Amino acid sequence: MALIEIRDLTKTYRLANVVTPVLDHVGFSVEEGEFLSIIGPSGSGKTTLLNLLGGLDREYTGSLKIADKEMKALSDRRISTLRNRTIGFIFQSFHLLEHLTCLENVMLPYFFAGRPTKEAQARGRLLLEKVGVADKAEVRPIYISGGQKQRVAIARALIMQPKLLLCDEPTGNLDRETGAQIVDLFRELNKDLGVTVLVVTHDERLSRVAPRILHLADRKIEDTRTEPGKRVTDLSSSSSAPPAD
Amino acid sequence: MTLVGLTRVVGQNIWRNSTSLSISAIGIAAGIALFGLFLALVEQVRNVVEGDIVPIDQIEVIPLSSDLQRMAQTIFGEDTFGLSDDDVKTIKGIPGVVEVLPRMNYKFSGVSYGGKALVGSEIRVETIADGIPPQEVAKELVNPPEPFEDRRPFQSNRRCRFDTDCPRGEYCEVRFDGPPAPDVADVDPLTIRRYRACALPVPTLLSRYLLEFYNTVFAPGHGYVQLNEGLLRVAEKELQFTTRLGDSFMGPQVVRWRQRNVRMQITGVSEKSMDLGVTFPIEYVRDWNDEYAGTKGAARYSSVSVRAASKEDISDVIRLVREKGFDIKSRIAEQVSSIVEVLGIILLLISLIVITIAGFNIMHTFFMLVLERRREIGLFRAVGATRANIRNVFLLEAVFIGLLSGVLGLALAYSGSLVFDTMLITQVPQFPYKPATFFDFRPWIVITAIAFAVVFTVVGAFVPSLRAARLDPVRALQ
Repeated sequence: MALIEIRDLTKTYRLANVVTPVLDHVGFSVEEGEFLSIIGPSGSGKTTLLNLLGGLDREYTGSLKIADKEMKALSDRRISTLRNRTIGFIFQSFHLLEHLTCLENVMLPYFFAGRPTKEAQARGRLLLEKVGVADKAEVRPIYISGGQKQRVAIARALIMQPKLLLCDEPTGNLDRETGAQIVDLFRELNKDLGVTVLVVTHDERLSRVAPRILHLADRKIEDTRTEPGKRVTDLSSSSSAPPAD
Repeated sequence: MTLVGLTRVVGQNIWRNSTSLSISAIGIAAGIALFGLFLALVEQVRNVVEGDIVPIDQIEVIPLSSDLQRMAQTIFGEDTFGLSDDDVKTIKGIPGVVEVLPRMNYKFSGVSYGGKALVGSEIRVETIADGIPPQEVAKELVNPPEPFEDRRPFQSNRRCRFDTDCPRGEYCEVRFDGPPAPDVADVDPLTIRRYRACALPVPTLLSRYLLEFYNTVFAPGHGYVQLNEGLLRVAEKELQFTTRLGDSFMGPQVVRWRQRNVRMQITGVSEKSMDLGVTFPIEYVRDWNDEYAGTKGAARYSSVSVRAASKEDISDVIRLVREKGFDIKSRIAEQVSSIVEVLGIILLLISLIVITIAGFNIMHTFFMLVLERRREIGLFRAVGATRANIRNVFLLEAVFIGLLSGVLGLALAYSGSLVFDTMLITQVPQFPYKPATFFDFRPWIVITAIAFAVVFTVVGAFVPSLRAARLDPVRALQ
């Protein structure tokens, strides 16, 4: 069973009687454990697609199923539970709460799952260790670097053991080296934990790491699967890489 | 989301926005301070008025009047509105009560006339009267022209046509055999036998209040002779008047042929008599009620006069009487209390206006917080918060702010009361009934004040919390 199944997905924005189509009868499916990236120029609808996949935006026509659940048919409670248990979000600007410590930020989804705090703490520390920032557990995010922030955000996205990680320009705010480390971490998580990773980026180097690439342009999607031998594995040595934002 | 988790998030939020929230909370606290202070002031004024100034040690207990009871009375025709013998026993059993005097009102109308020989002109008045057990006043009357008791066992009941046919002291009274007055519409008047028999006049009590009222308001206006207790004692023969039972100047009358005259003899002045009316031995009132208002009207007491052991006990007695499900009717105290109550309502309105304005301030602050926490709300939604979770975070924050403002407000009110008391005791000269404190912070005031603080804060935060819950997560995260 496919984790993501999209058929005839159409999304339009309506602003003061001006209808702007963003996605036009798009269709693809993603199996569990896949690592894929969505690339496309700015304004091509990458983030819109990601918001639709994450159930943050549910105004669309066609069919969009995550874990066999039609997103627009779910109640607020059910979609919230789906976001909490099945989907992990990673944002370009990290979205860490500065009044909380890194560990508390990681524990946040646990609060909304109604699970015990002690369990959240133990699991949070374990994940911070896994992403390499165990020593920052009690530190507030304003005192750590961008790369460390993204690691904390990844730990937060993983705490509920989701099946799907949705990453929106995860290296956009990081320098080249740190970005490469974060990409490596994604690959590792995909390989070790079997979590499906979907990265939206306009960074071609990052997209090339993924075995499967969805090109988004002119409201349509083009599905490309990279041959295993041609994978780009070392981003930092690539000369064609554009500078980080 | 668990309550622990929710409380944790809320606690962190309050800590983080402590400055803006404190400013809003101060408004609520100020309103609550006024609210508490005014309530405590009104409570203490009522204590002083009801406990010290007016009724001293006496109250009148009446049944709790509710619309439901009255409705039941109308529908089922039952006299549920009244006090039974058991109620009188219950009231007698209340600690601090030393004397109970059940009273039964006239449940029909009557017109009294007489007094020509005494005051120089015949007075006609609508009869307002009640009955009390005569043994309760027998001791306090000095040399009454006639004992205050049910005189009927002592009268001759001889058939007569005129007063002169009767033995000395009796008069010729009209009586009826047959059903009571309320039921006469259903019977043939010819079957009711009307006859005359000799009877002793009905002993009657006046109150000092009535005498005072007659002397200061009635007599000067009409040029009548002023009366006093001494004069009443001397002029015993002139102290008779006639009451036409069933007649009325204003209310509904009993059918004319069923009305009859009864002669009354004023036997003295007593504190136990009703204020603006006359008082008879209860046996007469019961029988007349039976005759003119039906048996149901004669079954229950209208009120019970209660005397407490001391005036210090009276407030406890009042409280216990109310707890047992009865109400209090105290004459002048009631009037003073109603003035105090109106004053209290005005003061409460002022404090409520302050709290309402503070509530709008809370609303404004929470709108600002929602705006400030937009991205955070978006993030919460992304990591699995439901709309209800978001709303509850804000509402729980409001509850905490409300509780804190309530406690702060009461602390302010209490400190204020200490300052006022000190000023009033040291700066204002002694005046009658000047109390040791002007404020009485009862537990119910504390609970009400805190509840008000919470309610107003939550109401203020409600619309902003809904807006937060409805925020589009995509826009919020941008």
